[in-house]
Amino acid sequence: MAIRLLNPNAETLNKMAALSMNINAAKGLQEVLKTNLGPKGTIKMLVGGAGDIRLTKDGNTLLKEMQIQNPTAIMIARTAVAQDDISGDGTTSTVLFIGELMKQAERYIAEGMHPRVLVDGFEIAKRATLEFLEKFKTPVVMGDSPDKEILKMVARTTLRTKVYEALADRLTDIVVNAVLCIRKQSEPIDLFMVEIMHMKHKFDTDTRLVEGLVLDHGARHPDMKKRVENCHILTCNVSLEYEKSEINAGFFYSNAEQREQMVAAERRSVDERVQKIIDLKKKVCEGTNDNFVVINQKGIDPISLDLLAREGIVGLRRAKRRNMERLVLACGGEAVNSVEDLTPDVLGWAGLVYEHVLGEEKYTFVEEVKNPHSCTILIKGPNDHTIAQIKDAVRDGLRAVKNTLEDESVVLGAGAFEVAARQHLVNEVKKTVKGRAQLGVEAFADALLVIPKTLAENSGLDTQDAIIALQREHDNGVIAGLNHHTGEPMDPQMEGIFDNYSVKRQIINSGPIIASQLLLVDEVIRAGRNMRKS
Amino acid sequence: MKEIISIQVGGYANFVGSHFWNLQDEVLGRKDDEESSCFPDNGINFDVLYRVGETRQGLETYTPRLVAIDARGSLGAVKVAGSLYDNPSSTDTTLLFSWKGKLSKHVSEPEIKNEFLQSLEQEELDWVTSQQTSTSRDLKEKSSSVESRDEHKILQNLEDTVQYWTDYSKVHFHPLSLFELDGVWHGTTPFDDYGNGRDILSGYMKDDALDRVRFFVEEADHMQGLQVLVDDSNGFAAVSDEFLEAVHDEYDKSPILLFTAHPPPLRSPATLFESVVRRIHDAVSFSAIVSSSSSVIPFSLSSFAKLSRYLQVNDAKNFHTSAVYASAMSCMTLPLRMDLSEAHSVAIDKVCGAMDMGDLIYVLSGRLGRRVSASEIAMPAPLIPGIERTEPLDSSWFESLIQDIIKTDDQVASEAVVVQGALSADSKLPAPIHDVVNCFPRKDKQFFQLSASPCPLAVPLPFPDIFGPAKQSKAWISDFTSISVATKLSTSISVLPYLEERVLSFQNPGGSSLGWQVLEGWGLQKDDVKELCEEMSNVVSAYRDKSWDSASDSE
Ligand SMILES: Nc1ncnc2c1ncn2[C@@H]1O[C@H](COP(=O)(O)OP(=O)(O)OP(=O)(O)O)[C@@H](O)[C@H]1O
Ligand SMILES: [Mg+2]
Repeated sequence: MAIRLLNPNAETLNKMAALSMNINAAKGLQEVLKTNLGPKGTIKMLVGGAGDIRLTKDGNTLLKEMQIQNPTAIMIARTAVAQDDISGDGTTSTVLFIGELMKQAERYIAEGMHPRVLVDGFEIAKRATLEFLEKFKTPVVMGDSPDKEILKMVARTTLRTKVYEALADRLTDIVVNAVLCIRKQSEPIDLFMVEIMHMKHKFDTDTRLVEGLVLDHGARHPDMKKRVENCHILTCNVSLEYEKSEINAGFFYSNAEQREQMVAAERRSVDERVQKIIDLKKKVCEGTNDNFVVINQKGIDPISLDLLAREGIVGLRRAKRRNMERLVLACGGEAVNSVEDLTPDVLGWAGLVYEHVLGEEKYTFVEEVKNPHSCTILIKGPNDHTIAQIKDAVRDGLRAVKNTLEDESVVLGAGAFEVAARQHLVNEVKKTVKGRAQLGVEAFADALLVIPKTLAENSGLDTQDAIIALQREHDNGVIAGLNHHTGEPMDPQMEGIFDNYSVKRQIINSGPIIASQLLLVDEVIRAGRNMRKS
Repeated sequence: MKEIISIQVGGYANFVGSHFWNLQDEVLGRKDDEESSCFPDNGINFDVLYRVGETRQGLETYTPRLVAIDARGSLGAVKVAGSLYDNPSSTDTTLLFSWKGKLSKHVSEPEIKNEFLQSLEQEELDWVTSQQTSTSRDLKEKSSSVESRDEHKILQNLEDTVQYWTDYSKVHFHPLSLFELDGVWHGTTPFDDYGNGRDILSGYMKDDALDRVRFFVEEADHMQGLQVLVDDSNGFAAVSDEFLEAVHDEYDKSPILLFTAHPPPLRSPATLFESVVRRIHDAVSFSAIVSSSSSVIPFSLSSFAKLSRYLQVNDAKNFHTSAVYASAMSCMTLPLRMDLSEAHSVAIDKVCGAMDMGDLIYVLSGRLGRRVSASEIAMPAPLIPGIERTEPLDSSWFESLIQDIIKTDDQVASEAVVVQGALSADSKLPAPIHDVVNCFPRKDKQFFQLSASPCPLAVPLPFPDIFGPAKQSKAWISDFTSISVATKLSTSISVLPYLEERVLSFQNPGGSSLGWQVLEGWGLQKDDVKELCEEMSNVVSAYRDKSWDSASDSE
C-alpha cells in the first residue's frame, strides 16, 4: 500500500548495474518484511487512500499489499507467494533468506569473485543442507491416532506468530480438532472440508469450532420454522424452480392458450419434483417427531417453497457447491442430482438446525451431527480487517496441522535448525569442497543465520550476543533455539517450538534458486553502441 | 418480477457501469417528481436490478444486485464496502484486538473527495437532518439549499478531473458489490494484455468473488439471467474469462448477456511486436469470453466522431465514451426491466415489447444460433412522424457501436430495436407508443422485436456534457435533463469482419513465430489455442451460409 520500490529503467543497465539492481531489490524487500518475522514481529496496519484498512502480520499478505513495480522484486515476491501456495507458510523467511544470500554475494563479488563460482557454492550448500534436514528433523508417527500434542505444538508455534498468545492458543485447539475431524485414514487431507465462516459483530469476538455446518443463508419462506430438531437432511442439486425452456420463449406462441399450456406443463414437472421430496418426507417423518430439511444447490421458487412449507419442510436454496460435499460429510447420506434417486438412504441427520439473523444476514446452523467429517470454523470479529487477519491465521494454522500429518515429521524452530545447519556446513561440508566454491558454501551458511538474527532483532535483543550464545551451544553438541524473552539459548523441544518440515524444505530449496537467477544476469545489450570508441 | 444479477469486470467496464447505474438511479429519483409526466409510474420495474435490504441499524436500503470487480486502488475516494452499511472503521491502533505486540501504521495519501462527491455527502447530511427535524418549513429551506449548488461548476470539475469511475458515481452500493483484486494495483501492476491477467483470479479470491454472486442469486426468486459487462482491453479480459467460466458453470441454465467494451485506443501500436500482441490479445480474449456467454454485444469504437451529429464525445475521456455505451446498454436492456404485468395488459401506452433475457437471447440467436450482435444507437432517437406520414423510418438514423462495420443487408438476421422517449415530429412532445410502433414496422425478418417506452433516458448530473451540438440545433426542444434514445441489436453478417479478424489471428498468429512466442509467454499451449480457435470458428459458422462453410472446410 504505502510501500513502493524504485523502478530503474532496466534496458540501460549493464551487467554490474543489473546485478546491483537485483541485489538492491532483494535487500529492499528484505528490509520491508524483516520486522514481520516471528512471535515478536510487528503487525502492520495499512490505511488506503479512501480509509480502507488492512491488517497484516504475514509475509504473504504484506507482499500482496505492496505496489511493486521493480521486476526483480516482483520475481522474489512471486516466489514467496508460491511458497505460501505450496506449503502455506514461510513467506517471510523465504524473502529474508533470498535477501541475505544476495547480501552475502554482494560482499564476495565486491572482492572480485565471479558470481558463477558463488552460485556453484550455493548449489553444493543447498544439497548438503537438504540432506542435513533429513537427519535433523524430528519424525513423528501419525497413523490411526495421531499425537495431538505434537499437532498442537506446531499449530501453536505458527499461530503465535500471527495473533496474540491467548487467541493463538484458542485457535490452536480449534484448528487441530478441525483437521482431525475431516481427516480420513489413508486419504489426502482436503482442507476445503473445513468451512471458514465469519460474522461481523461489534461486541462478540469469539471464534469457535462448529461440529457441523454453518450456511450463510436461511430459509426463504416466512412460514418455515427457524429452529427444528431431529432433522433428516436432504442434500440435493435439483432445480425446484420454474424454468422457461427455449421453445416457449415469451412471445412466440401462436396463441395465448398454447402459451398457458406450455407454462402449465413446465410448472407441473417442477411440482412433481417437489412432491417426490414431500413423499419422502412423509415416509420418514410420519408418526415421529422428526423434521425434514432440504438443502439445495439449485433454486427453489416461491411456489415450491410454499408447497414445502405447507408440509413443514424447511428448504434452503442456492447452497454453495462445496457445501454439497461438506453436508454429506457432516450429516451423512448422499447428495442427489435427481429426484429419481430419493430414498431414505440418501438422507443425512442433524440433531439441530436453526437460523441466526444479523440485520439482513442470515445464517443456518446444522449441528448435533453424528460422527462428522466436515466442520466449520466460525470467526466473529468487530470489523472486516480483523476478521480477515484472523481468517489468514486460521488458514495458516490448518495448513500447519495438515503439513505435520502429511510430513510425519517436524523441525525444531526458533532458529535451532538454521544455526545447526550453518555449523554443519562450515565444519563438515566446506572442507570437502574444492577451490573457491568453498566461499559460496560459507556465504550460504552465513545467510541461514538471518532467521535467528532477525528473531533476536525483532525481540529487541543484541543480535551478536544471541548468535554467539547459540553457536556456542551447538558447538558443544546441544541443539538450541533463541528464547525471545531473554536472548538466552533454550531447548525448542522443551518449549514446544516446532516448524513444518515441508515449509523448511521449501525455503531451503527455493531461496538459492532465485538468488542464483538474480546473480547470473546477462548483460543487457544496448542499442546504439559506439564502435569507434576503442 | 424476474431478477437480473449484474456483473462488471475491469476498469473501463466499471466506467460504463458507473454511468449505467447513475442512469437507473436518476429515473428512480425522478419517480416522485410530479412535474415530469413520464417518470412516475413508468412501467419500469426497478426490482429487476435492485434489491431491498436492511442495515444493522434497521435502515432500509435499495441497492443494485451487482458484483463489480476492479484493481486495488481503483476506487479513488470511495471505500470498498461503501458507506451505506458500514460505520467507518477506526484506525485507532489501541483498538487492535488480535495482536498485542508491536504495530506500525502506514497511511496512504488520502484521496480527496471531489466537489461532486462532496455535494452528495452534503445532500445526505441535509436529508438526515431534515428527517430528524421534520417540520415542513425546514424541509423547504433544505431543498432550496440543495438547488443552490452550482451544477455547472460541479460538472466542469468532473470534466476536468475524473480519474476513477467512483468520482462520478452517485449510487450507494451494497457492501458485497465492490470487489478489489488482490495483487493487481491500479496504475502500477503491468496489466496491458491477456497474459498479465492469467491466474490472477484464483484460490480463495475466486471463491470469494463467486460467493458474492451467489449472495445475490440466492435472494432471487426467479432470476432471469446475468447481465455481464467486461473490459476486454487488458488483463481484465483474462480475469473475466476465468470468472465468467466459473459463473457459467455454476448457473448453467441461466442466460448470460455479455457486453464487452474498451475505450478508443489512445495510440496505435508502435512496433510490430506491439501490434502482434494486440491482435492476439483481441483474438484470445474474445474467444475465451464468448465461450461462457449466451450472447455477446461488443462495444468497440475507435472513435466517436461519427457517432451522431448531435453529440460531441471526447475520445480521450473515458468519462465521455463510457457514458455513450452506458446509455446504449441501458436502452438495449430496457425491455428486460419492463413490467411484465403491464405488458400483458391491453393498454400499451406505458411500455411495449417487454421480454426477459431468455427471450432477448432467443430473438437474437435466431434460427442459426448466432451469438454476436452488432449494436447501433441513435441518440437522440429519430423524431416520430405523425399518422399522416407513415413511411418507415430510415435505418440510417442508427450508427454502429463497433468500428469498421459495413452495414449489409442480411435477410436471416434477427433484430431487437428499443426506442425510448422518442418525440413526435409535429408536437415535439413524447410520441404515443402506437405511433412509434407504426414507424418501426415489423420487417420481413423472422426474428424481430420492437420495444418502446415513452420514458426517455433521464440524464443525471454527473453525465458528461456531450450534447453541445444538439443544444445548438433547433430540431430538439429539450432541457437536456433527459434525452430520447433508440438502439438496435442485430445478428447480421455485418459483424463477420469483426469475427473473422479474430479467427485469422489464430490461424496465423502474428504471421510469424512471434505470435506463438506471445501465446506461450501467456502460458497458452497449442491445444488451448486450438480449442479457442475452434470456439471462434463455431461462432463464425453461424454467420456463413452453407456454401461458404464447405469451402472453408475443404481447405
Ligand atoms: N516462540 C518462538 N520463539 C522463537 N522463535 C519462534 C517462535 N515461534 C516461531 N518462531 C520462529 O519464527 C519463524 C517463523 O516466523 P513467521 O511465521 O513470522 O514467518 P514465516 O513463517 O517465515 O513467514 P509467514 O509470514 O509466511 O508466516 C520460524 O523460524 C520459527 O521457528
Ligand atoms: Mg509462519
